[in-house]
Amino acid sequence: MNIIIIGCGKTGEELVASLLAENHNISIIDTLPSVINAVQESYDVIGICGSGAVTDILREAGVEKADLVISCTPQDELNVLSCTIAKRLGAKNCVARVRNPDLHAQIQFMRREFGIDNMFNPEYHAANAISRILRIPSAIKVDSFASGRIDIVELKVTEKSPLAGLSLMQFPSKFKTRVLVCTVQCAGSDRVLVPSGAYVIKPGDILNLTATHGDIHRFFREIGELSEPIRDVMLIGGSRIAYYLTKMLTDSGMRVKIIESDENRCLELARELPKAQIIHGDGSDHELLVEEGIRNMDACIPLTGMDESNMILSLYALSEGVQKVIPKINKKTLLGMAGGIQLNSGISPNQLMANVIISYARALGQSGNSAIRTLYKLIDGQVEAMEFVATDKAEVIGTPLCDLKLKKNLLIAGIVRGSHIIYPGANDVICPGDIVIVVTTNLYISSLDGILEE
Amino acid sequence: MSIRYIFYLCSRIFFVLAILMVLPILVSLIYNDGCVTAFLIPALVLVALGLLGGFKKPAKGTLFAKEGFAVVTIIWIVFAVFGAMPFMISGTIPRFADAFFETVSGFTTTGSTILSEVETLPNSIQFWRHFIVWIGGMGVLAFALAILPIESDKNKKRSQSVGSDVYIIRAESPGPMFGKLVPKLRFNVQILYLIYAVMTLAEIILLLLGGMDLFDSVCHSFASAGTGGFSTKNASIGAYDSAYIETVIGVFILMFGINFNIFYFLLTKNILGILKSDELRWYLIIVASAVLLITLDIRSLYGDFFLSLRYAFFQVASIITTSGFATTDFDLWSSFSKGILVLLMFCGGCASSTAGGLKVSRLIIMVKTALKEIRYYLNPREVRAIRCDGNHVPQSVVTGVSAYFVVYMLIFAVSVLLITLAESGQSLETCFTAVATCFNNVGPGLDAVGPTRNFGFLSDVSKYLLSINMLLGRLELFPILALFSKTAWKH
Repeated sequence: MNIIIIGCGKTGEELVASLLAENHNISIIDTLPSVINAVQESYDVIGICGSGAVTDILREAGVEKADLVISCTPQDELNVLSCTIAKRLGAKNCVARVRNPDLHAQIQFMRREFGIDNMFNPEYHAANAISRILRIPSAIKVDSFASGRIDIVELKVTEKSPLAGLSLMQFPSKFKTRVLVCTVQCAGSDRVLVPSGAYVIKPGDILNLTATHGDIHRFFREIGELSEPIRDVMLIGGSRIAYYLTKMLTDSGMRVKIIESDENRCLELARELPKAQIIHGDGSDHELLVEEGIRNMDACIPLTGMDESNMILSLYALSEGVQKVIPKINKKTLLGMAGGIQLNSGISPNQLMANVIISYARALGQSGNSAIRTLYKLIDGQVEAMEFVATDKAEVIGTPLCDLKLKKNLLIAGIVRGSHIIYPGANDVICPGDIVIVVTTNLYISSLDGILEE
Repeated sequence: MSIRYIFYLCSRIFFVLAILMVLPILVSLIYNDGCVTAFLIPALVLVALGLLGGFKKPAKGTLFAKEGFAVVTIIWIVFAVFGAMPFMISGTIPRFADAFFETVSGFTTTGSTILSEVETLPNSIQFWRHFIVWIGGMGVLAFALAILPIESDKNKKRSQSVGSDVYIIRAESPGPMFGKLVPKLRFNVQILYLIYAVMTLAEIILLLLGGMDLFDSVCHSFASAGTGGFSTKNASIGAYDSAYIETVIGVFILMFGINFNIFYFLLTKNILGILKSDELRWYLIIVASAVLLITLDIRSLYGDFFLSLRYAFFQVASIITTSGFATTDFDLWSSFSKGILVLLMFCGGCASSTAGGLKVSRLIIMVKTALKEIRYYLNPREVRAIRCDGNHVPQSVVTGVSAYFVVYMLIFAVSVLLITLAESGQSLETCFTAVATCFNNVGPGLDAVGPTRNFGFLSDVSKYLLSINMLLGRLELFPILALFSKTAWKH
């Protein structure tokens, strides 16, 4: 597909990298020549210097033949304007990054009147992801499918865990709750595999489990991993993520304390978030953190604008015995550099945005034919977990799963039929309308039929 | 810089070099001139070298700027050495210094020859001489990239895709800035090669219509497409004494000296993009004024205005595009005309064409910088931006162009000094134009290296020195010079 990306900041670059890996033709538009040069040197794209809201620039970038235009400049209004213009100039699909909650709320109006196909809010996605992890604190990462009915949970097996030394076949006899182990990253290596029943779990393995939301809870209780539910959360930095997250957390009954250094922002937050406690102060001040009771917090979420400070704050919070720490880290390379440091969870809004856009782009290429609906990248992007809605045209319909020639290293992790959830066995069949969840190390699958061996 | 990784990349390209040798083998079989082994041996050696290092990809290593220019320089030198082998094995040019000079001369699209007698060469050898000009014109690495992905790994991890083939193409592509036409570099290179091939084919057909035989048409078209200037005739294009052939070749070499992006604009009907091109306008103005001045100057020599125009046009086209074909012995012209031709050697064609020299776009930027400095002297508070093709030229490019010019002049000066030392018996004009013509990838010089003479009499030292000059000129100095920098080899 021909894709134009307007605005090539941190989010834009992440999008370039992810979409390039999917083999699209990408043009970038940015107002800064230095940005264009840097991106052109690292990635196989063409760059045009100028504003994405100028018709000449858009035409030069080939907007008439563009299948997808993504605008992610820092200004919401500019993104909306660029997308509107691009659509009028003949772009097939336009999506804008809109972070202002008020603007974002009028998506239907924008779609109808401005021709914008979709609006994305990475901060909202990030807040959502953090709140999901807080529900199951011992998990590294929690993603959900089928509107939250099925969870996929990343878990690191510790020395003490009852799972260590167990083979997957023994699961049904040992535990009352049914869960499915989709992938295993073996301890001490980068290798990821879709395990067979004979696989014996070792301490240090990272597992991905799927089950319904309730079953995951029950299973974690059985293996003794479900620690006390989280009650007190400290957010350091009153960014937009903090705003969305606080709303979600206070609604589910948690107590939230936000530390923000800018007084005006504090006032804004205090007006918008009556249930939260807003502290005006420097989040990197050790005394202040202690005074505000970081030692008694169940969770600490550093959300400042600087990845580096977020990492340092996380280390400090862990050393103070905070049970769960989830920093916002946008630059993935930083995590790589700090390889020795044990940060169990981390959230990258850019990465989340990129995943959403990738699944959107893959679905575009499939025009309604059991296209991908949700995509999560797990374990450094080595595993993809996807959700498809089966249409009656799909080839996989009606054949028992044992007779389908599935690709290697691919697992059908769940089928949702109406309100019913099926853990697929050999004789199950996929029916039209089913939501099918697939976990695989075979990357770049874009439709349900893509799970079959060619 | 990871040497194992560079070796891996080079090994993959060795296969492409071996493939290139298949064509002359076919020619040799068609004409049955007994030179098959001359090509088969180097091709097999290349395949063997490729097999040695090209299959297993080293675990570590990414293609950054350093690796990019190192690969380009190594491949060009390796190809010059292997390209010389057929000449030596077939016995047509037995000495290595001569064969190396001839190959580098072809490959860098210079077209200077050490052969005094070219008409008796076996057909396959003759074809090879011209074919390397054609490949060298557009770039052998660009060719490799067009037919195989240099960094092939579809499911590679994302972090490894950072750093790309752009570095290789930029090191090989002439001109101060490298601009893409389409997002995918590979597709970009394929488009350029396609335009190149179609134009070459058109020239072959037009030459056939002019009565030239097929083999000569192909060879001359290859030589003019790469703006190289080799000929199958001892008297070059002058041997045909045909106004039609001269016009066809003259017009085509001028076209090959134009930025290839212009032809893409023409294909996509982007007329605005063509009109905006300052470089094209200046290029045509320079050609027109040079033709006019020389015509007026040599009219007394030939007596006829149209004959003078014909010679002047062909010679100006031949020199400014750094082809170096000759239809007449311009060494006999007046100093004024010869002076213009020597200046045109330095001027060269447009960026991103197959021509050599400084390039018109660099001249434009330098002249505009100079004008800006003069205005600044008069109005110290005035702020001015340098524009080219309707766009602002970033300061980094301006500085780069100035630095290029300084290094270019320094190397030129040192080379002239060394050649005068090595060839103490020759006139200064000979030494000066020999370096100028090789450094700018033109072909013939003046006096003892004039259009009717050749470079065969030079000492081996001079031949190697001029070969290096040709490579420096074709790769635009920096990739080769950077290789001698200590920091390039640090890990």
